[in-house]
Amino acid sequence: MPFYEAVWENGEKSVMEAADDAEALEGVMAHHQRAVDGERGGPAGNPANRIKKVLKYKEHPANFGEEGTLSKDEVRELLKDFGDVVNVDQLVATLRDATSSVDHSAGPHDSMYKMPADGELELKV
Amino acid sequence: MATIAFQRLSQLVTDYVMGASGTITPPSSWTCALSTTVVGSGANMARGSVWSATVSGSNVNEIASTTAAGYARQTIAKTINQAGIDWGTSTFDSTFSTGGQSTTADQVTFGAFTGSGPSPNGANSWAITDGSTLNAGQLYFAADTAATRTFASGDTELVTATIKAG
Repeated sequence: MPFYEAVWENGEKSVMEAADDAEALEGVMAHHQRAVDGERGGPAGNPANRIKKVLKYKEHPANFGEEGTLSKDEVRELLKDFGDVVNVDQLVATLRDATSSVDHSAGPHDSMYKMPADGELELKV
Repeated sequence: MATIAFQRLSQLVTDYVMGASGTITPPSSWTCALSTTVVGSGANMARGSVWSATVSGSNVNEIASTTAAGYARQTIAKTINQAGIDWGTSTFDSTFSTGGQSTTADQVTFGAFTGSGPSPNGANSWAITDGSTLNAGQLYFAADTAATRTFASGDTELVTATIKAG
């Protein structure tokens, strides 16, 4: 089943698995309407948020880099930022971050993931 | 509210931190999951619990394994205070018996849920785990939710995970 990344107006993001676009939109828009109506967002009483965008993926975007592997060329590229003497712990941290699925340069209304989205749902808000 | 640290978390200290193991290693990213299983005090989850769709013994059962209806695991990056959802700056509690270093992750959001809600429904705990496949991966630590959360269309659930290493 496809996965969807809901990017909320307040900058929060959540990944959803739904059968299809219509189902994902149904849930997202039901939550959005609660924000418009001033209703609570969930059983814990959290406030509801308005939706900003919904991105679509063929698989969970957290799967990016899950194998924890890099090609030699990718490793060589990362080594270019190091001098002639390499701190091993810093090297390990750099290599590890390269396989992280999270994009730390993402803005509040951007996807939080490195995996490119396969599309974006049209919202009627 | 009960909490539990699973075997894998302890093993990361003994094998990875102390012994630089190349096989017992942290995942490339953490994920947060919701479970129908109560942490309890030994009659439910245990330190050696594993994820399973089978409701038996100390198995930890994830919600939505039959019908997702908007559920998916949420990522917490393996970084500190970067943009995106990751861990905060850790703080130190010097109390002799209960102290330690603790860190709190940025809040993650589950949902919005859809249709008639996920099946199984009724989250009683959240767990820090790895991977995106339901009822799979390693378990690291878990805590009970304040009450059973039964989700319906449009619901979201917020979780803020804190870990204290004492």
